[in-house]
Amino acid sequence: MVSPEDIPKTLLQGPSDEDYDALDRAPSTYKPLHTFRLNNDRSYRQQYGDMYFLRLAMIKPAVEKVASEAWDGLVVNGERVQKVERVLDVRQGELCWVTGTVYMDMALKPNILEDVSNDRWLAAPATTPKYYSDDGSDQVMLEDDSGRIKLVGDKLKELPLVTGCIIAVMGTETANGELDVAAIKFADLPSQPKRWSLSKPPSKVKGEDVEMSDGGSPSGGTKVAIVSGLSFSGKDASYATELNLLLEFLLGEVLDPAVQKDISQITRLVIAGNSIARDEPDEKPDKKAQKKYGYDASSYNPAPFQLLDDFLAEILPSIPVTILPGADDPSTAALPQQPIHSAMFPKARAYTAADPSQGPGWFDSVTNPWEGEVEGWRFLGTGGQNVDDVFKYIGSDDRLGMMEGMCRWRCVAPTAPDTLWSYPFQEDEPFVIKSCPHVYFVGSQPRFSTKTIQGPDGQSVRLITVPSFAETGEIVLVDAETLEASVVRIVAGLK
Amino acid sequence: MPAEMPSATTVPQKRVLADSTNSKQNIPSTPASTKKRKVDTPSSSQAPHLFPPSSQNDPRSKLSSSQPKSAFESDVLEKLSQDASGLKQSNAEKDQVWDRPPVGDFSPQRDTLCFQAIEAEEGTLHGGRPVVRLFGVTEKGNSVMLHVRDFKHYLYVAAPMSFQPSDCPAYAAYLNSQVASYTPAIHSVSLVMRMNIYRYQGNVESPYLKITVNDPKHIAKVRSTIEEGQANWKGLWPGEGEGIMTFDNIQYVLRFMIDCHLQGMSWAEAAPGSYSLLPQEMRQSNCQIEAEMSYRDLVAHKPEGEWSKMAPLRVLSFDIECAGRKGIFPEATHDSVIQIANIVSRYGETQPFVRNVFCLESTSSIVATQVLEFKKEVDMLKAWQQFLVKVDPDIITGYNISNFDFPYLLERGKHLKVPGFEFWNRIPSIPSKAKDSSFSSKQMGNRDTKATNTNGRLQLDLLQLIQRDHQLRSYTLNSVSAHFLGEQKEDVHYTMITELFNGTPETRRRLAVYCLKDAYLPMRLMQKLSCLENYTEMARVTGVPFNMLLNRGQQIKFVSQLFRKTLQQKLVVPNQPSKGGDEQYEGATVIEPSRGYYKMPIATLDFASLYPSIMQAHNLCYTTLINKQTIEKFGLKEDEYLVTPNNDMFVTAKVRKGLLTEILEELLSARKKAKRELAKETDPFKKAVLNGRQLALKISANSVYGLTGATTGKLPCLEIARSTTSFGRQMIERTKNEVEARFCIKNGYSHDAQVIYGDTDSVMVKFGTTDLAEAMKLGEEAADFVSGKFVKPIKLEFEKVYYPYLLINKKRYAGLYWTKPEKYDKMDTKGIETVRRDNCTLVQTVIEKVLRMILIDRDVDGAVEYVKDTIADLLQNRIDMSKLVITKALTKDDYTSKQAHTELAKRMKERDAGSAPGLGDRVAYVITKGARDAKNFEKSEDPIYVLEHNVPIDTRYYLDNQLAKPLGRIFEPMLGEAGVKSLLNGAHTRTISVAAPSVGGLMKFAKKTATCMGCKRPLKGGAAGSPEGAVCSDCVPRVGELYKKTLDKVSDLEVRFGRLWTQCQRCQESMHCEVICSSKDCPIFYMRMKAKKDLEDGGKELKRFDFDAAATW
Repeated sequence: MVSPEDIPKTLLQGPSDEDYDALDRAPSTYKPLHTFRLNNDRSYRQQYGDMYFLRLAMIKPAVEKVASEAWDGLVVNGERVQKVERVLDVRQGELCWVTGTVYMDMALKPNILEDVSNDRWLAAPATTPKYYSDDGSDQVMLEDDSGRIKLVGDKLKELPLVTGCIIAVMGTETANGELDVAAIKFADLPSQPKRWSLSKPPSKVKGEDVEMSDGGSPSGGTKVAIVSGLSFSGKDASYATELNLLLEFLLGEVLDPAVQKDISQITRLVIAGNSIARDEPDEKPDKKAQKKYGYDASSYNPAPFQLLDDFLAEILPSIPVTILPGADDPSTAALPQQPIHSAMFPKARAYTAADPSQGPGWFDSVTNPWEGEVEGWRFLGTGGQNVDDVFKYIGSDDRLGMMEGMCRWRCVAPTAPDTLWSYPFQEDEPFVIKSCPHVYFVGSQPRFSTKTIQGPDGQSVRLITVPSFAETGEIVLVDAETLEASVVRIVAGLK
Repeated sequence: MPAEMPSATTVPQKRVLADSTNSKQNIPSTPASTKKRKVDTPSSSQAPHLFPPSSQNDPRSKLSSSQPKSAFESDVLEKLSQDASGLKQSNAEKDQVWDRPPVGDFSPQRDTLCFQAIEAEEGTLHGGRPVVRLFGVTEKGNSVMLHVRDFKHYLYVAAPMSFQPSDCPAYAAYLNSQVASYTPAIHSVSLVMRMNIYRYQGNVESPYLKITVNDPKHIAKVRSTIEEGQANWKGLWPGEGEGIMTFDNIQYVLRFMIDCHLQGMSWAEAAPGSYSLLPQEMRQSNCQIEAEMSYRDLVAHKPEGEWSKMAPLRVLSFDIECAGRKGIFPEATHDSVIQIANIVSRYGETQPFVRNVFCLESTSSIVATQVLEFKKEVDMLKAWQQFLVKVDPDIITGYNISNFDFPYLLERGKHLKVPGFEFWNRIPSIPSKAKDSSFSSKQMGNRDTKATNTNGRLQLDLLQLIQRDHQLRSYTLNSVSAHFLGEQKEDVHYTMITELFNGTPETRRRLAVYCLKDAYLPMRLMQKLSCLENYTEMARVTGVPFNMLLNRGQQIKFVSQLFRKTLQQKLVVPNQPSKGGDEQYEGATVIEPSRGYYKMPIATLDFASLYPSIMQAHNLCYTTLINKQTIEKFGLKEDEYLVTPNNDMFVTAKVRKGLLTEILEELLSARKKAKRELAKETDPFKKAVLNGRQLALKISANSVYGLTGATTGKLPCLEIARSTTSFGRQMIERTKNEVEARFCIKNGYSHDAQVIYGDTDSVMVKFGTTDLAEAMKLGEEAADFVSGKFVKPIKLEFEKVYYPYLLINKKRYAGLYWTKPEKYDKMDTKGIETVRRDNCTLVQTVIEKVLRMILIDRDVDGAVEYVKDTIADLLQNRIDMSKLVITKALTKDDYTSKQAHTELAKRMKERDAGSAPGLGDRVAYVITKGARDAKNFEKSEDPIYVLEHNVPIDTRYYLDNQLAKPLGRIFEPMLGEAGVKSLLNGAHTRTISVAAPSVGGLMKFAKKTATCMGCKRPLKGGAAGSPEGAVCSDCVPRVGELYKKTLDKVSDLEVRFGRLWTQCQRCQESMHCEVICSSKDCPIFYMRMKAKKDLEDGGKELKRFDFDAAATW
């Protein structure tokens, strides 16, 4: 390699001695976990019952602990509150508490039996905006492997409940065989690992540089960028300019040096789902044209995948990327969605790890949901389907609240498999949140929002809803020191 | 920390069950399910500081900021605990009250005994004196048995000319000696004036001998003695040695009810002092009140107004489960009864007041249900019998109880020698017995059934009722509930039942819940279909006891009504020997249909109650029938009689009003009244009663015609029947002519009207207009115009417009049904057989969808496209197999003939006797590809086997033998013959794909070679591509596309898998328990099996891309 110093002085003018800051991108410390990876030879001979069983078995002890602290020894009207082992041991006339899985019986849930008898099967499952109806027909059940009991009482209205979350309820069985609920408990946040529990902080070889940049930038430490809904499309070019600007922004090709310096602090880009747009198929082909009655290879439009691959191939030399699949991406439909296959990234796949056992590659195609350690913090993220489905159960649009609920129920996809398609797990229930994350982000949400929640043992979780870039032009930056989340909007001027 | 997880340790028990069920009856089971034991809590390093002990002291502090503010508001909890202590006193799981309310202070001198009489039967009292036993329930809910004495049975004989009233005692004595029984048979003979019902008699009564017997048992003997010619006293009757005709042959109980004006299911009353309670030692029943009285004092209330109410009848619905053995339908001599679920409700209440399950072995509790556990079957059966007597149901219902539950229980009780088990009745001295009976009627055909006596209690077997009243594809409780209640029900195969029973208290509980549901559903069906109300009203309208409606044919209802009328009019009915001939007469007429697809409104004009109104209008009756001789004899003038188009003759109403005319008038005016009241009524129970009544009245009115034409019946009168139909034919023709003559351009209308079709009592008119409202107006106008041309009460009514209308053939049409111009009411089809069971559901859904598209969307092109797509999907193997499954029941007669399902059952037995269908099971099969000339019965195969082994389906069979005919019929009026041909054989039928089977034939020799997913070229390594990979070297550029294609397929399957299995969890109402339902009637049963297999195959295909250099490097 030829350095400027080697160039003979006779040539025109030598470079000035002025000391330019060489902007090095801050390094990324990254340790992905494979919690949601599925075996390639997966069996489908098992049913979903095992999954609920496992979930209940894993979360119940924590719920019972909370509940027994609250209720053991409680005496009301001379009546002592009793703990009951199983749902069916609830006896009429006794004040008791019991733990089980919630099941929401809702008439608006899509019903395959109806679809099949109406021959609607071939069409995609109807997308219902809400399962929730406020006409009072929805029923809340509590069940375990012994059976189920209907829950009633105003208490149920105070708390959002969805199928699959594990709770303890205290109350008494009514004459109709329903359980009149007086109070509800849930597991609350699990224990939180310390920072840097899986990876090591970056070594201080370039310690000075780090200090300098710390001093120079007001926001403090490095940043992790999270974007979702890039929605590369074969048809819709309305936000192509924004996508280009995003590329330039992340590469630091635009803007003044001060901002460039900020950008150099972005250590990693996390793409949280829906990189590909859901292109509706073309209108019915002209009727006169000969109709094809078999597989039609010409119906495949490779453009969106090429565009995504190109985008990644341009960005990857500068910044490491973690990509999660979302509902519209070329991945499996059931949760946990498996990493987007390298067949879809003929260019970008050059940046993947040659041997995954030696650590993650510069380009890491991961599962949805996914967890891992980024800059020492435990991140948990999804492509958004889990929140979108919980949203349908609840008469509210407080999506951060739903995320908080999942954390406190300790389940990242409680409504799977009931209304959210899922692999039938048998030996493990990965959706159970075993360690409390520091950052929990969810992609493809209507708007950016964020808050921090605290747990009983001082746990603290930063919740972030990441909006769809195609719709808002926004990307989210998470400060790697403070875990503050901020949003950057990219707007094409000429619009 | 497994110690903290009590639930984990309780679970493996239930898994024992799953492990032993592998592949049996194709019930999916979870592999390696015992692994659940291994559940571990997350990483142990974090365990110590889960919840710090500091928060354990104060009950409030541990509610972290996020937990909902602990709502220990004392009022809530206090209310709860008060409710709780209340419930402790009366707990629905323990303290259900079985007994009837106590009678209390009751005095026959002071109190009226008033009850709804639900059943009447013959009995004896005071050492053999015949009585009629009336069973019933008072308004307070007390059970009553009333012995009504002194009513004597009788018959009539026409008195000879010279018979004098003073001859009566001598004749009685003579008869007694002729009958020669131990006790004198004849009570008395009296001379009375009566008239024969047959033929007009000039309104003159003749002398008849009323012969009354002492005991109804004697009546048959007396009658046969007379009819056989052994009672021609002094040769007074002409024709020495020949028999003498008797009159009024009707059974004792009915005679009693008719003469006492007591109708079925109506209220009977005994005034204070007119009856006496039986002393304890003389009581025969276990009813709360048992009394006796004379029939003369009995007051029968006509079931109208206040007296149309219902007593709080107790309805028991029950179901039993038996532990069957593999491959054998349960037999009472081997297989024990393990559970009996019971639900008891009171009429007029929505919730049952008893819900319990009698269980063998310990069984976990069920919400709001009493679980009674027994160690020994004998004790359980004994306890159930005691429960039955104690809860004392008035009506027993269930599903297939007549042919299964009742006889099975009785036989089991006998086999186990359970003392007193067979006493289910209201009369403890009479045991219940199951007898074979065969029921045959013109309407319902022949049926072998079992009948069990439950004296004093009514039986409603929902299976029999539904078979009687509804045409369905399948009569399993599953499909019947799906049809009427819109619910799929979990179906546990009987071999699975044994396993559940042999499991744990939890699995037995599961079985008990299932059993309970089977007891609950008949109750719901009964309410939904208003069975009790409808049959009650039928009993009231026709005057027949309830039970007789169910186990006798149609005739009895008419006979009962007729005899009530003849009693009033002093008519007697000759006891004619049934001729049994099949004399034919011309039936209704059909105007030749102008077949086609009509895109304009077609108005339908109907004659309301055609045949009844003809009979009324023309005074057709037994009592008005005359012939030439009669005309001469009575000197009838021309305006005093009428000659029918058939040349039969009847006198007009002026001369004598026909008896049938009167009956019909009463029925139809009563129906009008019921309908008026129904419109005003708001109480749902009273509404059901009124609706039942108007239905019963309608059915009764319409059945009169049929019985005059039934030559096998008691009262045939072909003259009436054939005159009725001949008038009907004439009227249809006349209507056609009148409408076409009036509604034409010549008379100022915009089009010439055309009658395109007419059948029995309706004509379809095309007025030509395309405007719906105008067509309705014209229909109205035409109906009024034509009605004016006919004798009252014949009335032509405009009822509906079909728009559009597809007229396929005689009695085959479909149309959108409009009664108001704003919105159509429904889609109406006639004769398009989508319910036939030997069709697969594909036929049903395709026909229904096609009709919807043609009629509702009016998109014939779309319908054609849809059919083409469906056929293409079928031939390319893309139709879900569950739509191709055909089911048939395996009955004993079928073993002789070679049929698809019997042959399959034999083959399955050879494969695995345990899982093969047995007698009474329904066999499900699909038709698979076979050798060229293979017969259908050789090509039938078990759908599960087909799924597991990828056996190719004979899609051509489904196209040619299942779809072609009905589709051809529907589309021919629109597309013509050529169009239908291209529909069934066009370009869309050229692409065919066939599954590669893993069994049979040449497959043994075949070697599987991977082919390129793009071009299907074999992958052999090297330039041709890696054999583990997905594509060949030529198709490398397409790898993304092909990956996406495979992925989309797998994703689709994943969604299917998820939706199907979660649906089954919802249906079985448990997420934690394994799905064990094996309902072959369920539309998704095979789908979910297939989704499972396809998904595993799809996963393997997807995996090939991981080995493909083109996809990874």
